Amino acid sequence: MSELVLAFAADYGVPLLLVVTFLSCLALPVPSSLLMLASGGFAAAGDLTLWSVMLAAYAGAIAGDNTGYWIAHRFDLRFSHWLDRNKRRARLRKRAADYMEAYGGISVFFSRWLVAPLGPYVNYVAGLTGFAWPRFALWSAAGELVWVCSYVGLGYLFADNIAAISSLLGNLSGFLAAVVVAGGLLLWLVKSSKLREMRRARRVRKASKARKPRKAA
Amino acid sequence: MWHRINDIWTHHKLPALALVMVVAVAGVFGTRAISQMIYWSNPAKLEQPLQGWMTPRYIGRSYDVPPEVVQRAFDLDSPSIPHRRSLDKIMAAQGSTLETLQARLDAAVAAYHADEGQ
Repeated sequence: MSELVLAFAADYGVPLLLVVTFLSCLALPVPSSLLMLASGGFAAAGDLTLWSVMLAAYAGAIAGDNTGYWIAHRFDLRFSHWLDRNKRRARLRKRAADYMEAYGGISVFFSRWLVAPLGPYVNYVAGLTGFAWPRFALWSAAGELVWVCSYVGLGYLFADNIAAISSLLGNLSGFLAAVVVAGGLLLWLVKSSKLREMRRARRVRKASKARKPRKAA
Repeated sequence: MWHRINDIWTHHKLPALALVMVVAVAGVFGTRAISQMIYWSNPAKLEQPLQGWMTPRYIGRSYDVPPEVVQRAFDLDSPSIPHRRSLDKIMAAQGSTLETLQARLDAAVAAYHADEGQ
């Protein structure tokens, strides 16, 4: 896939970049980071102009984020009763909504660039949990600005070897995303285990309380 | 600690397995990133071989020579350096291969640096 997209990079330049960043925000497996780096490299070499590369990547990313949000939001409006019919599904959605209410903005911001592999899924979760759209759009716009400037900028600066910088950044962002997912999983597992322990202790206390009066009688 | 792990394992086997897997994935990505950083800290290894997606201007930039050197090396007959023409297209038009272009480029770059040194 990377080879194929790169092969078209020289011929279709800026429009291709716009389409690819758009699709990548919908969780489609297109090499948007690589293409941004390569386009930055082309800009450094004088084959593309830097501002049009930046603008196309930014426009594609913003459009993609908001499309993802609205697709999920539409789905939520239509299938809300289906989600709520099952207790487990309803509880999961409630928990996600609580999380988004507390940390949604910052999650949207950092999942644009620092842990970019998680970005598209955060878009869907935001739409699905009824996260306020202006808040989403604002944090997404801020985060994408960092993403586009850093990747196009790195491509421009390290134009000598796009393949090297792309592979390194891919591994780094994969590492960060895995660490964030692992941290979240661990936190949830420990929390739910502690909750079980507390419930168990409460049950034991209740049982012993219930036994005592009988003994007295 | 152990009773916590035990409790998690008895109640959440699948998520616990997922956690182990995600940690392993983080390990793989992390070691790859670190080994690449060590590998590329040696500037001699930064030279990037030609690939079909590259353009003459980009190659000039990558090999740190003026684009005209690349243009001459590849026998591009157009009066000015073509904008955004990929090697794939150039090879298709000339019937050349990446290997021959690489050899011509390496010779041209070496000649350019030799001239520069004098």
